[in-house]
Amino acid sequence: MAELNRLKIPKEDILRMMGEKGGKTSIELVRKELGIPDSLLSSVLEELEKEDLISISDKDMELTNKGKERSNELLKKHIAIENYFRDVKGQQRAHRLAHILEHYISEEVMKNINELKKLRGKGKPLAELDFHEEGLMADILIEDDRLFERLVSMGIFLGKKIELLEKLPNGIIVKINGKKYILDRGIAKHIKVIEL
Amino acid sequence: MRRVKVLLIGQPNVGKSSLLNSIVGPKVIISNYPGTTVEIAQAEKIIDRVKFLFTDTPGIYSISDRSGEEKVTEKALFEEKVDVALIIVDATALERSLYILLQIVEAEIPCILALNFVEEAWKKGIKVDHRELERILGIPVVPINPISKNGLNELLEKLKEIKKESIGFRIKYDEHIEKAIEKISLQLRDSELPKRFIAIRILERDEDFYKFLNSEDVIKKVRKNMSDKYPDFSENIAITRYGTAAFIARKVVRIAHLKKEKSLEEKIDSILLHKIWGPLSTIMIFLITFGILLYLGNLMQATLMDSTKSLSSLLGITGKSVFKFALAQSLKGLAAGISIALPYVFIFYVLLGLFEDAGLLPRFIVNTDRYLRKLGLPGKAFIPLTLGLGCSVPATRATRVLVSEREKFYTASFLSFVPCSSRTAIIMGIVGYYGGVRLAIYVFITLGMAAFLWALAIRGKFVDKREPLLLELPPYRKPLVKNIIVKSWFRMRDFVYIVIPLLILGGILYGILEALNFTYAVVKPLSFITSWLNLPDATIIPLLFGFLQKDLTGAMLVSVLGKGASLPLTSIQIYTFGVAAAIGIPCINAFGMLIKEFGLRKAVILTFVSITYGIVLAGLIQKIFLLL
Repeated sequence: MAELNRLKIPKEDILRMMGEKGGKTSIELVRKELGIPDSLLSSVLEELEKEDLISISDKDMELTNKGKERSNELLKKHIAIENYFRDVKGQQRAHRLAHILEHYISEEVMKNINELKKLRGKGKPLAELDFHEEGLMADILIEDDRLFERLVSMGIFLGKKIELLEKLPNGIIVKINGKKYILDRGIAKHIKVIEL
Repeated sequence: MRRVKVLLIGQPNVGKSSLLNSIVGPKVIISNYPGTTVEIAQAEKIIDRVKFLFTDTPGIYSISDRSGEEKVTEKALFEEKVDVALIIVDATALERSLYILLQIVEAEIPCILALNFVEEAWKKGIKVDHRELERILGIPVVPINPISKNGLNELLEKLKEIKKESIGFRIKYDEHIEKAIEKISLQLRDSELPKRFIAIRILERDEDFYKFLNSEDVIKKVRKNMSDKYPDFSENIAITRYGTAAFIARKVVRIAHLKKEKSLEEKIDSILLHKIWGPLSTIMIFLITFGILLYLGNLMQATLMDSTKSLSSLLGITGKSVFKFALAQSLKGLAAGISIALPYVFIFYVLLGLFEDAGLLPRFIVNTDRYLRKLGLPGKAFIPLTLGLGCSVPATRATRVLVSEREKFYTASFLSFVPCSSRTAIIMGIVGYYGGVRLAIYVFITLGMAAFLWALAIRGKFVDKREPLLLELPPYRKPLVKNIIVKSWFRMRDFVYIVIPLLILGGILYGILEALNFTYAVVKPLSFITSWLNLPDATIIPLLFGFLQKDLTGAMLVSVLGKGASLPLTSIQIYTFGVAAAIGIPCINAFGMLIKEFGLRKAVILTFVSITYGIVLAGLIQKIFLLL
């Protein structure tokens, strides 16, 4: 699955970017704006072309009709996430999440939007992930403001990918953004994740 | 000469101490932070006729959390006149590091960002565009490497050039929060801190900042208005701040997706963080550590004791006069101090520093937390309790890492059961030597049981809410020897400056009492204790005067009971003596530190109760055993 995601993310990034630019762009611009490493870029473009989503001529590229559809879908999903959270959480939490959507989560979540849509409302406790399985932190339902701030400042944040490494009787060991943490069972049970 | 006061700030494990060390060398001065009890490292360096004063601060994730470490950093930031805050940032976790930076930028303190672990980030496929970061934040950003010293010159240049008015990026909060900030700002007293910053801290419920309000009604009103519509507004502030940090990070960080490999770290962690192997390997590591210490300790103790004896006879102070006896005893005290301080305390603290800097300590905390939790202790109590295996005095001081007063005192009370090096010496040297290693192990087990019963009896009074376990497990790193030596010395300081002089004094005092035959005066009145313990009356001397001079307890016992290869005691009596001598606040030094940390009343109560508990328990076990 990790291998699948590896190409999936840049592929969707390219489609979305091209959609925003009216369907046309240059390879140089893609490289510049999306920061996809060269080693990856050629295989991503190759695959996009193979799937008949883009056509490449020399240094320029254009969305095919099929590609335009996909790109539109991806753009629409931005709004879908907001609705997703509104449905599940009600007004207040949706408001809170709107902050993140504005700045940040939207991008991260968008990358995983297909999975997210399928699993709408199915966020499960962190401890239910399998070993070495990655999930997306969809909710941190912690009442204590101080503890919440502490988690946030440590980099434990909504919309982040979280990998479960080990379950111990007193806590759960996870990896977020390449950093390892142990979370008390009492904290972990308030973190809801969506499978990727 | 121009003076520039620089405050080093950063999240844990970002390499603050390494940076300080590579700028100024190991010449750091460790001192109490004014007005608080937490130590900080300071160092001065003159470069191109500018005198830099660097102040290190404890690693913290944000300035809103309420641990002791945080309070110190906050005090250093806001109450001292700092010229520049040098914020050290981990390039492999940029957005998280930017969180605390944004908080400090809000306080409008001139900042410089030192970007550390750039090479490590490269290896992980992470590239940070530091020029773009500089542009967005509006503050100088310098990539550094404390080990190769890259970027340090540029950093010092930037520190020299820093101007008071350089103010960076500003977070824009939601409309309703901005309005609340404005409302509160209007009701603030004048101070050196920016009003916007104070208002935000107040909205985030930082009660330390309420003193800036003209009246607390304002905040009550604002909060009431806000909480109808936005119940999570203080969370929202944190979220927006993090969102902004993430937003900035996203603009300057590029990540190449590298193939995942099972690294060495994963391999080690699959053992050290395993359900069963984790705790077992932690115990093994400590047993091996103590094996090494006992071996080195015995070796050194024997040599030192011998040389003191020959020194005493060389100086002709073997006689019976009060002066000579006192002098001989003080020398013995000194020798005991050194022979214990060097091998047990210092080497132990070096090894502990090694574990700490290599990144093992947090894993040990994870593994011991489960058991400490059963005793009602927080996971972090591992640090003072482990230090207690060296000496109870620095261990008592180290309870400062804990959050609440109650937690600190409760943890300190367990130092009654953690055998410090002197008590280990009694258990091994008396119980083990005269009664066999197995008997010594029984004494150690009894200490554990005693601690458990102690917890059952008093935890209800001290533990109401448990701090949840929440720790970062840093990557393993090659420790820097310089850092470890500095840290070990820092932890040894109490031992050298407080314990050793008192050991000498205790030796002199005991020598005088002994020479005046005064020690025997306590034997009769206190015989109720020895009869409860079913020990010869004279054993009260080592038990009681051991409090003055713990390291001489063994020697005192041998001298009151006569010499020879065996003691006129049964195995169970040796065991009873060992338990009675080992449980409780061990000595006058630890008692002194307790007074310093918790006040006279609490120190007296804890010391008296813990020692009495040890004696009652030792006698009780013996009676039960004899009944069986």
